[in-house]
Amino acid sequence: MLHLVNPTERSNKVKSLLAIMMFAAASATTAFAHHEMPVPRSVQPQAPAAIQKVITGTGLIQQIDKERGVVTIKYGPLQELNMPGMTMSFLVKDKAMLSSLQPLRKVNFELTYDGSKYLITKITGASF
Amino acid sequence: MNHFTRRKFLAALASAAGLGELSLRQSVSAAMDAGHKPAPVSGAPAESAGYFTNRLRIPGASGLYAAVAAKDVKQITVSELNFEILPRVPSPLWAYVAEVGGKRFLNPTLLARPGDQIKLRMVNRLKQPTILHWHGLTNDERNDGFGNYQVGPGKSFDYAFTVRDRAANYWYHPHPHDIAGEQAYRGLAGLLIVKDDDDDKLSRALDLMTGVTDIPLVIQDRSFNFEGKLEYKLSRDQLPAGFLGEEILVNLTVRPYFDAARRIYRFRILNGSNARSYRLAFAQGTRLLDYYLIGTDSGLLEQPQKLRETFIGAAQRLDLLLDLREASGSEPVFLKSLAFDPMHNESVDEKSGKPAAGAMQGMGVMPGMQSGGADPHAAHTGGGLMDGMEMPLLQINIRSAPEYKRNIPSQLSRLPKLAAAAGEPRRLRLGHDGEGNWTINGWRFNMRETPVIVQRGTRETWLLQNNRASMPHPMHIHGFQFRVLERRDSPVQVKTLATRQNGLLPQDFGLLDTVLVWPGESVRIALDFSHPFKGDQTYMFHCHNLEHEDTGMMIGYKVKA
Repeated sequence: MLHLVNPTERSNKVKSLLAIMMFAAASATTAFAHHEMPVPRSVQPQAPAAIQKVITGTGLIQQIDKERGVVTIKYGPLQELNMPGMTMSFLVKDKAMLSSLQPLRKVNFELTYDGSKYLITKITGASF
Repeated sequence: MNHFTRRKFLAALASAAGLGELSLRQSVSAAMDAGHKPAPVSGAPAESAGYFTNRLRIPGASGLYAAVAAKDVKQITVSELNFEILPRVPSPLWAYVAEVGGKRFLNPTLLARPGDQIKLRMVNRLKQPTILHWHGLTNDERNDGFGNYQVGPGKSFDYAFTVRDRAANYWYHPHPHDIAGEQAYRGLAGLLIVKDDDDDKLSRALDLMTGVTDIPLVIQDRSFNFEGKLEYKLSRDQLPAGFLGEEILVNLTVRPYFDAARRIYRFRILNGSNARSYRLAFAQGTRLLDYYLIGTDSGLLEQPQKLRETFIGAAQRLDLLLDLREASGSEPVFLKSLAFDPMHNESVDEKSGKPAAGAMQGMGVMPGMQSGGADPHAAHTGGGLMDGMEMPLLQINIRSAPEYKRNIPSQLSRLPKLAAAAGEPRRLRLGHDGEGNWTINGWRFNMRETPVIVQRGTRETWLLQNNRASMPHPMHIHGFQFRVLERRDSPVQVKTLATRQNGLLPQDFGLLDTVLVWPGESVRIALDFSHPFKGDQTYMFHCHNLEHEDTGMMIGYKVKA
């Protein structure tokens, strides 16, 4: 049976979030959520007030850029944020964290807010 | 967690967005730069060290694709199991499971010779109906296996037939009504390799050994969810183009490499993808290597044909020889798909062939970008792998240089004499109804109807005419093999590969069961409806883009006794 995904079933809120996220990712990577729309500059998000927040996720590594310290992950829903899964690139806090990783490996990761941006502060192979 | 916090998260990501350009597959840009023209090889970064990290799965003594004599297989159980497609990540996989001599086989490579009797029971352990179709074989309708014979969960179906066809790389896969695409996608597919004296002679001449230097390559595109499990999802706007996966697998190996020697290899290639076509080439750096087409769907050509590239549509097979003595140095050779225009031309004006106002067509369409016209069809991609983009499929490392002085024989086999029918052809027009459904002569599949009736023992010419407002359709006929007589009005990227004879492509000189018909193209094929089966026989004629098949681009046709 075909598992049809009906884009109209998505709430406007999620669409809007996706759109913002797409903007966020635009200069970072190629992302793969469908039906994203360009975001006018007027709705660009402002830098957040300082928060210290750790977000945990699980995903499949798509690509690793060891030189830049960037990892692209197709991740599942981020529970802490009530966010749907998608594919995005993230900076890692320490490039050495990428040394033992390989594309298409399942990982658990933590994103930590450092006062200006979210960084991957922990990333390990996931158990099953 | 509230919306406010999510916004902050997104904002924080935005502030980290100075990461610079990073494409998942930088060959995307190579494909886009190529426009609609055949592209030079660009040496995509995906070919750099560390991308192809998994050893190609090759049929062994047991397990996945292991070879076994078809006549020794008494039962094939259609099963749901777990399998590590990605290393160390178990995924649900559906497979044809056979047990022979205490060994367990998944999607076994069945070996047979002309005249062999195959007698086996298919047991359905899925939670939905299924039926196994012997793709390319000449069988009576019951043993052909299609939706009218599907059996429910827990039920079984007995096959008993003689292999009547010439040596070739046939295959078997599910053919239930409406759900063949999902079942094939989830893993159900295997090869049936029929060998004969000509095949043996070639193996001796080139010192080929099955599983070592004579290797089947099943190419399939698949997507994995965030947990590394196979995922089959399409949005309604993706359905008309068919499923396109985010990764290309060869023999269910993701990002595969193969260690080879500097000698001749035979690759028996099956495009087992649901919808994707490939433009196959072997490249070393920016240089394309010559290779030799020796066979098609239904067996060896008469003579090998030297090529540098060829298209392969879904369900088609190409039998190739690659002489790695022609590679220079020790730089890896890549089996790759060159960039091409996938021709998602559903929105063009049918009469002029020009794009409809505001519509985008052809290649280079990224996720979320769609045809701008009112047409429901929208070219789409599978994740980062656009249809038609340049992509490496398999890395071949040259590891040794043994003493090897064999050369490719000039004569391979003899084909049955081509005898075309006199008179007007039967016309079959491929198009869509403007409501998202692909059609044949305006028909959509109805299991109770056979809109085409032919007389047993007669010859016919079928003229397959694809609309301009269309996309490529790999058209497959059950029950009979055919020859291609002529191609007309082929798109430029096809015409440039054609021979001087009637616009035919090199693979058109072989016997086929599936032919790829491009938008605007007219292909005449010669069919001989002679067979030994008594009584009326009903077969299928359909597009082997499995999502097209599942949504009705199929007709039954009857062979009157």
